[in-house]
Amino acid sequence: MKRNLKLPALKQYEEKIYSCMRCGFCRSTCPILLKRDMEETFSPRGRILLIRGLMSNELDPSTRLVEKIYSCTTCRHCYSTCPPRLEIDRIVEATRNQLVKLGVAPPKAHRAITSKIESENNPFGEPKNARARWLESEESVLPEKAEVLYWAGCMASYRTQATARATVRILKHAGVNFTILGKEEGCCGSFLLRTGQRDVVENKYAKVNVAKIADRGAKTVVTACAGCFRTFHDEYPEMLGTLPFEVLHVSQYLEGLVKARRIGFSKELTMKVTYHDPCHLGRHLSIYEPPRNVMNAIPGIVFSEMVKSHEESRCCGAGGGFRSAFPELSVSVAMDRLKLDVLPTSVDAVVTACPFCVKNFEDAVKRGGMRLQVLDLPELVWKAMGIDRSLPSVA
Amino acid sequence: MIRKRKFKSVIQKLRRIVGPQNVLTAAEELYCYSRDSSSFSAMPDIVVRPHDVRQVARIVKLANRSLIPITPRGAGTNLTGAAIPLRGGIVVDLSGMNRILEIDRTNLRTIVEPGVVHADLERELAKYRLFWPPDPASTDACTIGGVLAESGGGMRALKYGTARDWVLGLEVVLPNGKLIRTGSQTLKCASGFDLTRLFTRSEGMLGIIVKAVLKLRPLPESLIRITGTYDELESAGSTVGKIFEAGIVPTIMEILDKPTIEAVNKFLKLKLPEANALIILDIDGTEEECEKLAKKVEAVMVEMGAKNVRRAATAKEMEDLYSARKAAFPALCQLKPTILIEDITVPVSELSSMLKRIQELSRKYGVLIATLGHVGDGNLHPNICTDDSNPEEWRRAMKCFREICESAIELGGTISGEHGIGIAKAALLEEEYGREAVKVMRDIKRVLDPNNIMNPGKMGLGA
Repeated sequence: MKRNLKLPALKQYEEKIYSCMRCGFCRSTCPILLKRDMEETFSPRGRILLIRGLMSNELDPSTRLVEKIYSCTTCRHCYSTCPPRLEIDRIVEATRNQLVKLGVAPPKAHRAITSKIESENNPFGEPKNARARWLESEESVLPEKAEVLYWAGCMASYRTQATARATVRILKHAGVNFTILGKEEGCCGSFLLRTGQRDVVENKYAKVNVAKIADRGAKTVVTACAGCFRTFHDEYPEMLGTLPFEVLHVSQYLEGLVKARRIGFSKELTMKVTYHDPCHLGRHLSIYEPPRNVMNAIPGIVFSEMVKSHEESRCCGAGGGFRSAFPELSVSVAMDRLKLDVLPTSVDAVVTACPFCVKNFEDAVKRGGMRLQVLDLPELVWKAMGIDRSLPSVA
Repeated sequence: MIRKRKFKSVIQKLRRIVGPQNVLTAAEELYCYSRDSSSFSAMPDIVVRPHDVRQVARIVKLANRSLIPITPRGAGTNLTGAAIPLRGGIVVDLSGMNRILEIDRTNLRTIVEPGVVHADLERELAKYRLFWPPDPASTDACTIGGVLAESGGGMRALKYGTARDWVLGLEVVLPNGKLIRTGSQTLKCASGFDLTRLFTRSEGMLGIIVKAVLKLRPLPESLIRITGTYDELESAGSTVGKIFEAGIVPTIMEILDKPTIEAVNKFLKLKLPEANALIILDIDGTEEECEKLAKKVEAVMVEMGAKNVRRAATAKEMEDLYSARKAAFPALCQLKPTILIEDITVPVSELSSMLKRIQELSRKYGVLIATLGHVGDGNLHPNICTDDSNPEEWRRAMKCFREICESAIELGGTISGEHGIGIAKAALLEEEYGREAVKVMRDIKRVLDPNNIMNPGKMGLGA
């Protein structure tokens, strides 16, 4: 079944793909390779070879090959050690896009999620009307229009709701004039982009979301989701040009609030913590310091850095559609991160700035029976502000 | 299809040996094993991933009986095509055999499986304040089995030697599937022929190394890093011999030429002095020793015309210099699509002649050569920056490559200091050693591997 593939979206990467010298420096970075017993076909170098094979028509897009192209969390760790600086994550996404166009991708698990997004506007298939249920009644009175709009994202709306609640409480207490889209909020398209379904995001989700936000008069969009943030910050402008609003990650916004003394920490929070850099915030967008600055502004906090942090941070295993397609393996990647890097710092809690990392770490903690708290940055900040007593206390 | 049928029963047997998940036969899986870090390629028919010695022995026995070629592979980082399954057959991927079996501080040794990644071993040993001196640049990827089979070196080879100097004993599966032990676990051994050294550097052609006993050293207490620049590449080369004559052997002594420095500065946004040559040199030992020797070295460097001779004052400065050297290769990758990495080695006394010849050859063939390398042990990496998709340019590059090797032989050197022969330099082996010596190698190969199943077609030793 040889077919002429002609992968036009890969044209721009062709030279790069051929410049891979297969030095293997990427082998030490790939969380999936480590989990797959160092088998070459799961290495970043292997993926580039497979793509080369597709481009040269030496390989067919078999189910097995497609699975290997989807066995990547797009964590971009390989980029940091790649001598010719190949953006393997981007090349993988572009390849997925081509495979989708050929009708051989995405894999079954992703197709199921895509149809949930189509019907309920979120990847979990939860009712779209229930999207803002996390919002507590006393806080539900928000203006229709405001300067700032908090974009919760699907994960925080339906799964890690503590993040959404904490963020809203902080913004309220800081006296920020803000609103949310509530039930009108929907999928940002991050999942679709990572899994090669770019066209529908470009034609639908990007336009719809930007228009809805613009309608609310927002000049600044704040989100606590690293995936939504990258989509809004990088990919929407790629598709639509300059957006009518600024996009900030919650860590950046909180850093601003701390600096301007709009939020304060009255009591000491005696707690040992470390910070996990989410791939889509760190390596993809170079946001490393704002979350650390916020944490270090909290009195009493003892912050300890992991050996593998910043650009070298190990992936939690949740990104790139990997968690949904390979749930078992994904959680075991999170367990690696916790066991190899977090636990040796002997902290009470690992703080991160992405609800996907939070969810995957929580599952890993449960599976491994570890004594470790997992907190999203807004949760920690809200706790440190000392106003709320309903959140679970940290030993 | 005929091929598939021929291998069908072998595949079934292999599945029984290592389990079905460790036998790869799909086109896309085989394709990933068709290349290494060289420019060569060939498709295997089967990839098999053993996880213990017994499995390796059974695989080899089966292949020998079925007359199927075998190519052992670690992380596939070699630069000469040694891991390419030139005649098809079975690639034995040893990267899953990656346990460190023992670290023994009393006997200063470690016992490892072949798939252990070099950097992982280095990190583990450092916990005990120990180290294994060979330090190939591919440390984060390369496996110990590969380092041994190619006798890899690195920067520290100047003071400590290459892999062959740091292996006490091996366990090897011979081409007939039998397991032998070579050398010993002791620091000294004078018993019988030195088979350990025969298998170290055998490039997977005589057997498969399945276990290695490595000799260790305590990490030195102190380290001083010195740099200096030179107006003339040749005088940087002559400095090496002068430092030896002063009674000092530094730990590392690296050279970066102007094109390399420029590329590194651009790549890392550093401000290394853009002289014709930059020398980076380490002295290790006790604090007093280092201080005393460093002073002497600095004096020799100044005497040889070095400028800006200085010591790295902070840990960060020290790390920056090391990163600069390590970034040389990635930096060169930004210049041209293909980098031909050379590793000729000449006697230290001939370094300045060799450096001069490299410059001449670069002009003669109109190719950019960026030279860096372990100048202290005479091992240079004159990297030819070219483009293999441009046939005319590639032809010139290949001619230049050959002539660089021939120059090294003429100057009493070798065509390979640490990368090996593989396919890339197969045609040059006889030029270096002469017909009789290569015949001896061929005879050894025939005795150990009468069916010629182990990594056939390499080193110019026959089909």
